[in-house]
Amino acid sequence: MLDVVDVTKSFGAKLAVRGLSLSVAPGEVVAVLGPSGCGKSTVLSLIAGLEKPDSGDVRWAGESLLATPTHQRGFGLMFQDYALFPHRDVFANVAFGLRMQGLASEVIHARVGTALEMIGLTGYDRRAVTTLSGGEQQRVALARALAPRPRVLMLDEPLGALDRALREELLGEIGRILRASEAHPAVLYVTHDQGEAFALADRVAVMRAGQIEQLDEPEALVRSPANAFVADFLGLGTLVTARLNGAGEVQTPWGAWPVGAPKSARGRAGSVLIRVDAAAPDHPDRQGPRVAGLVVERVVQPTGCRVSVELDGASERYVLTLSLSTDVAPQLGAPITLVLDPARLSFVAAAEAASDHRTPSASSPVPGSHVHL
Amino acid sequence: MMVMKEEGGGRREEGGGFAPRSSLFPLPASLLLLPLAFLAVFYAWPLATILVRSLAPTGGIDLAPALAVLGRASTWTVIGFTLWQAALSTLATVLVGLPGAYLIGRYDFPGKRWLRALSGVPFVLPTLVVGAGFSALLGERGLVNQVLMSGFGLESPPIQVLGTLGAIVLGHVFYNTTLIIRLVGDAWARLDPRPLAAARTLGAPPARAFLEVTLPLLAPSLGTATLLVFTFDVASFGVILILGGPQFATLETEIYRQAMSLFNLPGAAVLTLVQMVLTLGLAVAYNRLSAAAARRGLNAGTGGARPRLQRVRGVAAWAALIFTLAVVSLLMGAPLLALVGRSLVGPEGLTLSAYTELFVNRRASAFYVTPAQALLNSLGVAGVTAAMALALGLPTAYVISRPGRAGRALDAALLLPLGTSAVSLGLGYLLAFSRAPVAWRSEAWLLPVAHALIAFPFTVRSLLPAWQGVRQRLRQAAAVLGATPWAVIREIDLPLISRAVIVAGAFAFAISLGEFGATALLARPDFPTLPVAIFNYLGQPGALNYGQAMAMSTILMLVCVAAIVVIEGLQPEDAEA
Repeated sequence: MLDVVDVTKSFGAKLAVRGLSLSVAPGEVVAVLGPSGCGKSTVLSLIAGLEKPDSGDVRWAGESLLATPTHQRGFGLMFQDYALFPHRDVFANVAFGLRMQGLASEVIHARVGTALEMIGLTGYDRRAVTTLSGGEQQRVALARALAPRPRVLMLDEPLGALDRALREELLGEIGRILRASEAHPAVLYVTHDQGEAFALADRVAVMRAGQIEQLDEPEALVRSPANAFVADFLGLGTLVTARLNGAGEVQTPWGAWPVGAPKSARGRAGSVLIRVDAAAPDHPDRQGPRVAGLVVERVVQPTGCRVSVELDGASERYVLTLSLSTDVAPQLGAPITLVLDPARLSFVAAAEAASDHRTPSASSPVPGSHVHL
Repeated sequence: MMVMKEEGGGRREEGGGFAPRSSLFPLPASLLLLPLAFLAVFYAWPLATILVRSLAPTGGIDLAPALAVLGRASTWTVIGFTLWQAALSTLATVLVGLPGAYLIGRYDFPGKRWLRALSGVPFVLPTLVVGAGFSALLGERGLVNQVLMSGFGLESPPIQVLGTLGAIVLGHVFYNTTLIIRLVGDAWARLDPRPLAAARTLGAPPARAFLEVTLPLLAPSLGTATLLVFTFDVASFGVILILGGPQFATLETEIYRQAMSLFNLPGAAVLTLVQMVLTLGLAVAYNRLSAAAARRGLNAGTGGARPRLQRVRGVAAWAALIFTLAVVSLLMGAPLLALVGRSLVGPEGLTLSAYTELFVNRRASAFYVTPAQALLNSLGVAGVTAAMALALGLPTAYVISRPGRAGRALDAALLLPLGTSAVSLGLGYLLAFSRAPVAWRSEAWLLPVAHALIAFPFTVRSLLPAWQGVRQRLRQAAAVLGATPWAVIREIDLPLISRAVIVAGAFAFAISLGEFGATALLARPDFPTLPVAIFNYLGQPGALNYGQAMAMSTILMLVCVAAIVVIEGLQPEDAEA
């Protein structure tokens, strides 16, 4: 088990990681998801020992690794730009970690062969890495990181440098390779792409400004985002600033709406999350709060028509989007009244200011969750 | 002497989430112990000895002897002539080099690479070879005079160039023209073409636009190149000694004469002090000027858009091309070809006797060795020098390439050996290593030590850009894969800089082969290097001795050219761009 315990790291005046804790079990894949510059890569540097934390601890099987230099940690790290050794061919790149372990040459040959087969580059042994395509380089980097059978495998935006189509192809492949790995490493996968994180990870840590806002299984993140930042970053819907009153209703610019919220949150400021496609055109049969607005965008799509509606009656600008069949979709600029499905409304706490943020709030603690707070 | 172009600093480490300043591989401080100890013993101490000998000859500080030397009119004549011949030589060099710089900077033509490379050959040739070359062409026993004498039945050689101020200037122009062509030409090629275009659209005719836009933008690089040439001319030793002859005295030759002919070591020490102050001042000025030029270059003239090189067209371009071709072929090529030719011509026509004689010891005493032995001595000394220079340069360049204060301090400290003339160093060794337990002045190994110290700054400068170009990310990748700090250096750094290591080694080798300033003071009579042997044979009467001097010079030239071919061939391709 890899444990990162209350780790803080600053570069000069910039606080890159603040009080971050996280655990990854062997065989588990945890994705660290966040916007660029949130400190994701620094977390990997700290775990790999490329940087020393200002405070906190990094442990494997309960023992601190702070005094262990990088090369003795037995962790694998795949860099965003791959960092393949330009002066060595494919074989020598993949074999590097094995050589450093002092393995016999037959063992190295066998293991490199297996690794190249796994990534589908059998026969590429003597190719210069500088002649490889981006996707091939990416695979060689993955094979190089995996070949020494690391206890912890860290991948830093492994698909970041590739184009869209290649990404989707390799995403499936990485998932297959990670699951097939006999070493069952604890995997940390850093990305800013939600699709990658949700596709690969058992659990996802949403990071912002050096802290984890929420760490949960993908379903739980979608079902109950810890706060407005998480909901917004995951693109769960439209957030409307609101306050939860004592009766368990949220006070919105359009009146009080009944929404699901834990009692503990009563009286707090936050937002109503109007989930994607919570809105439908007004109809007498439909129950729920009603809002009115103007169509500000109308995009015809293969599945119908995506309509964006700017809501009236609020001092701020709020836009809801809904999919309608083309024949009922109103024209651009037309007024429209919408009914909101109460089941698809929820209250989320405000994303707290980063400086005083210590606890990622009332997310439902999932059994087996390894958040240490 | 040689010089490296100032490199524009290595690539900085990439960011991307990983902090660039990670002190990831704390290598033992012992890495620097060897270079620092070496510099202390073989650089600082000899120079300190010179200081003590000139300012405190009897123990306590006593400025009277130094002031007495400085009070002599002859001292000021020497200083005056040093500066005068340097100024004259520099002016001539700039005038001869500028058309070439213009050509390189503005035009593209077939064979440009060759012209550029050929113009650089003289720069790395030993002064003895150059002296012998000019002697072979223009000397009393040279080709031109021989042809004229036999052609017109003259009794005495009609051309008397050697032994005049003109010969000194000619030698310096021969040596340093490439500096102007390359440094100014490259800056010219990097000039942003837009200001010139703007001036032209605003109505300035070409000549006016050149004077008001191009020249001011070019001034910083022209200034630094000129100062560099001046510095080399001030510190010149072999050219003065061989082409000028005994009637001319600069600080360098006077130190040599005082020390070696008059055995006046204290007097030589005072002159050395003057020379050190002068060259160090010039080195500092050069550093300031080039730093300022680099800063200005970022804001204005250079960088950004690059002009497209044109085909040679128009009177100015053709004139520059023809002039530069003439300079390279007549001024540079002719003496070297004359050297080869003269080595093959004896009193009875074409012969290899000068070469076969190299293996014969005519003066079979203990203190005379065959020229072939001198060549072997030179090769041995050069090999040891290259190994020592690398042993010193590798750790030093490594530390400088890492971020941090230690590297910057070391970088600045490297200026000092650059600002010390070889003759000063040689004298320092004579003074410092004369008494037990360090009576090393007649040890054979002192020669490669001196050569390694002279080559040291160049070695570091050759290694530094390569080492700065090694991406920190690759080291991190290797460390994560289990490589120890030493394994990282062995597996990542050294293979990636291997070409630079060979180039640096070849540089040190070539410098050692041709070194004459320090060698003239330090070489033992029974262990001469090739330049020393050439110098001795040139000073002897007799056709056979002269022919042998020519033959040895030819061999030395060929070995040096081979080293240059290695260096040029291994330079990274983009170094030319």
